[in-house]
Amino acid sequence: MKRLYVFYDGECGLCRRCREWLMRQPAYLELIFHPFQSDEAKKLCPNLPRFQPDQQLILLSDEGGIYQGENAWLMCLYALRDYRAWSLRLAAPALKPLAQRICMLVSHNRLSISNALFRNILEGEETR
Amino acid sequence: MNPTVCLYLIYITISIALTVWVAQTLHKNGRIFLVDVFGGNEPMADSVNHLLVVGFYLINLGYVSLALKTDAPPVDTQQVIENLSSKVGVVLLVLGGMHFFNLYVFSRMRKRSQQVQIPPPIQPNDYTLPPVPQT
Repeated sequence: MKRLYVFYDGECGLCRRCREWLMRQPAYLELIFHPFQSDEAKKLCPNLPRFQPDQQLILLSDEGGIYQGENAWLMCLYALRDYRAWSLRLAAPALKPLAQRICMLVSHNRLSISNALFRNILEGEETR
Repeated sequence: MNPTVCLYLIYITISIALTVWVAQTLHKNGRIFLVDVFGGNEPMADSVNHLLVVGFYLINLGYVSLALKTDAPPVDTQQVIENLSSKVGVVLLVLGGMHFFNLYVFSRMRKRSQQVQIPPPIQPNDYTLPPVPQT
């Protein structure tokens, strides 16, 4: 496994912030980001809608593995040099349910979180 | 030569000898560890090994010289031995502490270098066709 394709919600400010943060981190695996609404995403993964990318983060490995929700997040951490140890810790049976709950909570409320935190940034981008 | 000077001379001799012995042990046995950490890059391992030993010498010899002065100057042989024993005891504990700290640093570096090969902690939820990279 050398490359991971991350399909995020391009209409969500929080997701875009997360993408920027992930792109700044030194990584072992190449992370490639596409909004799930984009044509590139559909070309890379024709049956993407089947995995409900509007509900949760979807990650596709270069080997064809699909990771959803908290698994996708853990794989993102696994790809990063400074956070690989954390992905192993969080994927352990004791912490996995907690990671899952937090990911669910954030995914379902991402638009309201984006509105509350990043509205100014989004409006700034739209007027530009 | 009065007992205090005698105490100081013996103390310095023992402390320096112990420091050199521990540093040599660290230098000799730490090398294999570091070569592994740096993926077989021997010049790099030797360089880091040498730098670590220099730091080890500086800290220990600094402590030894700071702790030289005695609060209760001995008047007879018994007091020289007692005084010497407590001083050398503290030096040994400091050396032990430094040694374990060094081991901790080594093992941390090693763990970090091994993390590259660790397989993913989770299995995919599903499988699909492998993506064809876009040009």
